[in-house]
Amino acid sequence: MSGLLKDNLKRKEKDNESISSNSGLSNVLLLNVNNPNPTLSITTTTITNAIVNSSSTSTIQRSNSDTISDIRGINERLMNKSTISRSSSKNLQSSKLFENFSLDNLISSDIEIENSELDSDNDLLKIYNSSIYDYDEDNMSSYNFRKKYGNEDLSSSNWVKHKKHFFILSSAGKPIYTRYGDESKLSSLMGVIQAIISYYSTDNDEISCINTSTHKIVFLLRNPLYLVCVSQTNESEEHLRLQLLYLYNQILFSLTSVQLTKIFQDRVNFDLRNLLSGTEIYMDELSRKFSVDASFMLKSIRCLRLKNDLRNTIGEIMNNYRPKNILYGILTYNDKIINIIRPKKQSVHPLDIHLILNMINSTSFRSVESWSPICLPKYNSRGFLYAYVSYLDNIESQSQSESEITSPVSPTSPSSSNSNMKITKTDICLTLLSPDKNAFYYLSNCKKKIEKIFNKSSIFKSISNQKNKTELDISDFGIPHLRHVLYKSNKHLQFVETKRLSPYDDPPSYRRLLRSYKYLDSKIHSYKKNLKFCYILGKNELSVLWIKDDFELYAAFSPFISKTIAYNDLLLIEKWFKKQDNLFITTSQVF
Amino acid sequence: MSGKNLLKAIILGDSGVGKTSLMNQYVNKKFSNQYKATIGADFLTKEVMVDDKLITIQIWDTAGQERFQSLGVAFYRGADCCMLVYDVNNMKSFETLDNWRDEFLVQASPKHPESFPFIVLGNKIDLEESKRQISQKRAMAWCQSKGNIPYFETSAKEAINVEQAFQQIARNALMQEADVPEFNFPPSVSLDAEQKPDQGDCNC
Repeated sequence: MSGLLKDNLKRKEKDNESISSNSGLSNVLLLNVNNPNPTLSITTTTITNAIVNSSSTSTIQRSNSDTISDIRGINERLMNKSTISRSSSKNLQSSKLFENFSLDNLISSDIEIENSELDSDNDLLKIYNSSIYDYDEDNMSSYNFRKKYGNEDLSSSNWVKHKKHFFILSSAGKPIYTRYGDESKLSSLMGVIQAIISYYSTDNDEISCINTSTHKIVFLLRNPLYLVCVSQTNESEEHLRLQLLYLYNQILFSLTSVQLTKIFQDRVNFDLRNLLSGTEIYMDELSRKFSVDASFMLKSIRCLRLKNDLRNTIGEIMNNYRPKNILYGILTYNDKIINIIRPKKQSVHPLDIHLILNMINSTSFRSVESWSPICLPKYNSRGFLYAYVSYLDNIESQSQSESEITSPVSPTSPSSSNSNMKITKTDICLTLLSPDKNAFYYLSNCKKKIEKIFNKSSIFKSISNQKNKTELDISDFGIPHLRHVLYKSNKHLQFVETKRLSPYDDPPSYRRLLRSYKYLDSKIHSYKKNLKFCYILGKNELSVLWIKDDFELYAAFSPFISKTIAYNDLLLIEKWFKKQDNLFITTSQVF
Repeated sequence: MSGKNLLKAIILGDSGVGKTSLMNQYVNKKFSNQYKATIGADFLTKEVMVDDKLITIQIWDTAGQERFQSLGVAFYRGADCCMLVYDVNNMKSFETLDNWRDEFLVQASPKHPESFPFIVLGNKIDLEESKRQISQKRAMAWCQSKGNIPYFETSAKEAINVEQAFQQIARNALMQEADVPEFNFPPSVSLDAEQKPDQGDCNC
């Protein structure tokens, strides 16, 4: 027991360092391991104090745990159970309560710790095997998302089971967003969250994270908004906080920081949902993508693999025919970037690009030219830009393509007015960002020009000719036991990964792989010494991470090979990457 | 006002006047004679139709006892309305209404304190008349002096006036809501502004 406590505290100390707690006080959470039904207590006292408290065997530590026990009271009545009778601590432990939702469910643990003297390697493996592999977040298509979970609430057993919840509330405690369920039905929970945050803010302190053996509750306080993640995915606090930051940026994306601040200055009780209605889909999609898209954890841009001269030709065309007075011109292929043009003195922020990509891919822009005000929080959170988004048409003269007419060309748009032309929508999308709200028609004309030149120079054909090579293939490396590779260039803040082949071709397996990468990332960065190489052996694969100044290389091998072999293979893989010139945007197209 | 509506309603008053019971009667239609002090705060949610609009009332039931008054300023922030509750059979609980009201206005600091939607509930009118210490007249006079606060005499036990009181406060709070702040479109960014180099930018 004492060994575990020490471990716990060590971990806490480490956490506290990385969290950068606002004051000297640390919010420590301890597990009472003596108790068969462990309860948790939050203390705002120092760590030493916490040791004293935890060694007592009482189930509830009254003196320092008012908040948590309060919430028990709250939830008990919230559950409409034993409405008036004073609940004793025994009642609180009752398994009945566990079946229903209460904050207890979210923060307390029912996992038994069998052996407090676990050596660290086993520990690591165990965590990995139990939590990461059992990950079963449902894979929902974006559009039935709301409908599917919309009617869940605190009392539905399914709601509690979701692996990762996101909540956004105003600092008044009013609900703004929930990933699952209907946020107004969760307004009691939002009140509880606000009360917890408020409790700490009276001491000028800020709660940052509550750790339990099964859940992490991470807070991001950005007045006037509070963002909270309740996760049992085993992701690190830093990763979860980054995800909350993305959601926060997504709100700025729709409102700007100026507007957000002003609304709540004028009226602190404002119900923000009405202003954000229609943008929930972006939040839903972000929440989903955090688990299936490495861009977010890597904070870098996913590039389309393209021959360097073709990429440069495309960039030059965009640059030559660019509209006056724009910030960025971005050419994308699905979720990958082909090229970006930008003013010389402005740089491109991956976090902003992710929000733009999320917008393009979450909504149906295929059939229309779209014009919408957006704010790029990393570039400038105070003002709007106007985004012109349009997929490009592949225009062929009829005579050329007559032979193909019988073949099913799926996204054909029959809207061509010219009977000699055959117009096909491509998967290539052009986004232009302008500060001028009246520039739509001007930008639309510029797009037509660019489209025309692209067609003249057979750009689309060249891209589609490369189609089978636009993704990295695992066979490129010629290493039989290699299963997946992800390579990030730290210089360019861009990354590529291999095609998701078996065993990572289904979303749950891929999520699991990504989770192991995240785990490696958090381990390697939380280690004090300059760690370069980190591996984790699970029953499904041997995943490794190798970090150097200019790159991060993640790879997954068959679990049956030794780490020495894996290490040697990594050297080969790295050499291979050094030789490639078709992976990243290396020549900046600036104006 | 269109779209979604959610009201944050705070219940204040001395301990034992029946704040939690009123809330429970309103939301769950239940009453128990047993007393259980609220620790910190309780939260309940109720959806209600007010003038054809569906309103979610988020009820923040607070602890009356001073030793639990540690939830802080932020707790009251952004309240839409406030219910002051006293026990008609308990003189002290009536006399402290002033304090509760002042305290609330200080902590929540609403934009227009003079017109903030309060409501006063004299609870426990089901007890025998002989126990009563504050007359309806006296209570109403106090409400009048504080800017015509609506007054209801209630019984959480017998469900007298509970529904009506909540309905009233929701309606009053919605009236405040009527002046929606306009959405001023912020200016577009100026591209000329020199950008400070930021770590983590892409060089593409």
